[in-house]
Amino acid sequence: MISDSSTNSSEPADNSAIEGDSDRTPTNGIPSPAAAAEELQLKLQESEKKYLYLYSEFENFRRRIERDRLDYIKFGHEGFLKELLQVLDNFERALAHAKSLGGEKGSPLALVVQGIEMIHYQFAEALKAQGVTAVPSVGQKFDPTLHEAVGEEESKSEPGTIVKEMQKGYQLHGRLLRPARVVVAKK
Amino acid sequence: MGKIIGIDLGTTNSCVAILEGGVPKVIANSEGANTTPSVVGYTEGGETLVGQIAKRQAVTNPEKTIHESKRLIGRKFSSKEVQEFIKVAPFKIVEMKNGDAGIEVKGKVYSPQEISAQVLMKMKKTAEDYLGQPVTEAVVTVPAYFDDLQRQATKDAGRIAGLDVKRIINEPTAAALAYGLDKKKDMKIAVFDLGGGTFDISILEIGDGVFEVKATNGDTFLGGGNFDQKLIDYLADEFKKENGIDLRKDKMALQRLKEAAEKAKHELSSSTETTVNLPFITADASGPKHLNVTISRAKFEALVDDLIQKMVAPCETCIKDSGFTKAEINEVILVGGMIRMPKVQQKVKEIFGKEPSKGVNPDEVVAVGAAIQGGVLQGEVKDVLLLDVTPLSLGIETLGGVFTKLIEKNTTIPAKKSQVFSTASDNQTAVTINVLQGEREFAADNRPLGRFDLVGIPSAPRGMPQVEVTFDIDANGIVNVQAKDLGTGKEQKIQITPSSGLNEEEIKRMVADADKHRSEDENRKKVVTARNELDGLTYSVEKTLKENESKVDAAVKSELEAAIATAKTALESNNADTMKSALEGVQKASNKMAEQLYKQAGPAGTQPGAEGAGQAHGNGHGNGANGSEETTQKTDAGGDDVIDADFKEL
Repeated sequence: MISDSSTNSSEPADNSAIEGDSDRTPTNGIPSPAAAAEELQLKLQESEKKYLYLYSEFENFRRRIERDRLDYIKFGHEGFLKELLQVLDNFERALAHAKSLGGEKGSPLALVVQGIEMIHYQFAEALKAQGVTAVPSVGQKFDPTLHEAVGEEESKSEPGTIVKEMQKGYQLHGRLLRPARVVVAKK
Repeated sequence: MGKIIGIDLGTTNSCVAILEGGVPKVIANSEGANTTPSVVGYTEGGETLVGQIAKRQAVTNPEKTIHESKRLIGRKFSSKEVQEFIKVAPFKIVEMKNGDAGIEVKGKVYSPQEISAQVLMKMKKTAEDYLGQPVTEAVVTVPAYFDDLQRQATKDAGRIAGLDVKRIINEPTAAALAYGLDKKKDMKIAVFDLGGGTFDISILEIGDGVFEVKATNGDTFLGGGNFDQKLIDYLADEFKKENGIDLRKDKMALQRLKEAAEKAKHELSSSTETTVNLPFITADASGPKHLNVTISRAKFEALVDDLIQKMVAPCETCIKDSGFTKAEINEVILVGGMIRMPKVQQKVKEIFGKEPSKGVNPDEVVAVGAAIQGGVLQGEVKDVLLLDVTPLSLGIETLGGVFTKLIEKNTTIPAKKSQVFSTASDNQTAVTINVLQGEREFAADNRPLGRFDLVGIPSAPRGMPQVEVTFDIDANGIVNVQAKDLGTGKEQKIQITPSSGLNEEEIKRMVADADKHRSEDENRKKVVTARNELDGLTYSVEKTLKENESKVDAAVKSELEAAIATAKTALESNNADTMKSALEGVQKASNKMAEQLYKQAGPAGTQPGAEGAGQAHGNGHGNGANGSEETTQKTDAGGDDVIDADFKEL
């Protein structure tokens, strides 16, 4: 059986205890005034040290909280945007299909498709206003900080170049929201 | 004195946490995630990638992207587990000079310690970025079944990463720490850990802060991923039946299916039904195809039933091996994301015959426990445990029998708070400070703690004297209440031990009482507040009128007198609305008076009229319409009502 040692053990305290000294050794069990003062002095030092550490931890904590707060303000809607991107994906799939069925120029179907395209533009602008930008992919060198490889392909392009985009990637104020899913040219 | 961080070095994912002010905090990495995949990738360009980034390029670099190195650390090449893993690993596992298992990457052989060290380095950096200071010490967790070689190898991995591993603790022990079980005496606990890829059951005995592992068991190839796969297969099969297309053959469709299945699995933990909605999942000659399937929780439970059954035997064996009976096991705690599934919890309850505990985030509980151990080693936990809170609000009684709080309940002590009050009547020369404890709006409904008087206040119009009342609670909960006349400097105080005689039950009851009576108390308070306001305004307006009778024309004067009369009648009623409209009437009339007074004061600054107006200000309360600004207490928003202390006959 394996046992864990006690969780209550702490590292030995500061080696600031003062060694016993013949001057201070009590002869009748009562510490001399000098020894008592010494002990109080030690206690005081320890208290001051604790206080300073706690205070500085508090300062650091306060700074972290403020930093996190600003972060939430800037990126707080990350989760919502990620959900929205999935809707945008499907919207774009639908639009692609609609366009392929497009009908003749001026026909009712073509006009509806045109209208939907305009809605798509509106959607994209709304995202842009929020600081959302698309990640460049096809033709770029594969970069795992921006792209996720879902496959490899034989290609005339230079190995390591992105040849296909399977799903768009997006950034929010420069921070990656989700990577672009791509196919990379084989080595 | 740097912090000792706690690291859960997992097979598939790792997590790092620290104690902040004695409270555990999981730290998010540079990608914003609380957990980091335990994956290391060596690129063509000579870069070493760790975490999510390494995962993203795995497909283009399978032989040089190493995952689950925990399955190899401290093991011999010839061991069963290593041989099993070789069958599925895309990278090359080789035998090192000393017989240990190693990984060969482009001709170079790495020990699993070196791979794990890369992950530990990322966790170290994550903590350093958050704290803004260097980190050199850590507590790292390992499975309870790890032998000495595996533990030493993990410590070595830490050393390579630049971390002094102060303690290696068992994962179930860390979980128990996170649940605070080390504080209880002599417990027998079972830790049920169902993570992404592995299932572990451990039974521990705790006594005097010492943890002993009595038995372990599990299934190293049973995890959340298996549950996802069942759902993926079901959806793909249904789709194939209807449309003749196997979605698993299309990489992108499979990816979408995987994500949708995982999402559905999560949703079924809180809803009894969910819809998997994947428009344009694929297409053929006849056009686009959509997947739209509704799955019930019951259906999902049926799909994964065999997986759930697989958990029973390891648990039964573990219980037997521990030497305890089911009844003797005091508590069962749950670890790992998959335990969120209701059916899993139900099964645990069936197996152990008791309701399992799941309060702590199951993905982070092991890291939290490691952080707590780090805190204990540092002495941080000991210090913080000394801090207490005051269980009920403390305050004094003010005009109208209202209870004015000075210190809110659950304030961490020691604490100190001051507020300035004044007198309720003209020429009041003493104030009674009636100290109470509780949550009700009115003093009579709260618990009296003590009272004292401050005398010798110079005669003055009501609302003018400034009496500063200070509540000072020390670390032991002893309350010192002091009242000081800021004008004369005279002070009086009292010392109380408020919680003597109050137990937890009574405290709970008082808080509950306040909730129960909240709306009724609030209405009563509205009435009292309206009355105080109207009374105060009427008093000062009347005074101003009397002092400036000559300067106010007859029309305004009679309007004022009428408004004041209405106000006095309204004060008799107990109706907040009546009083409020009377207040508005007085304000309107008073504004007209003020207009006249100022008009006269303005153009001829040296006229007696001007002096009069000045005098009205000098008394501090001429401006009845605006509420007395000078002697109001230091309240925050909209505090223009004067809270006056009651006067008690001495």
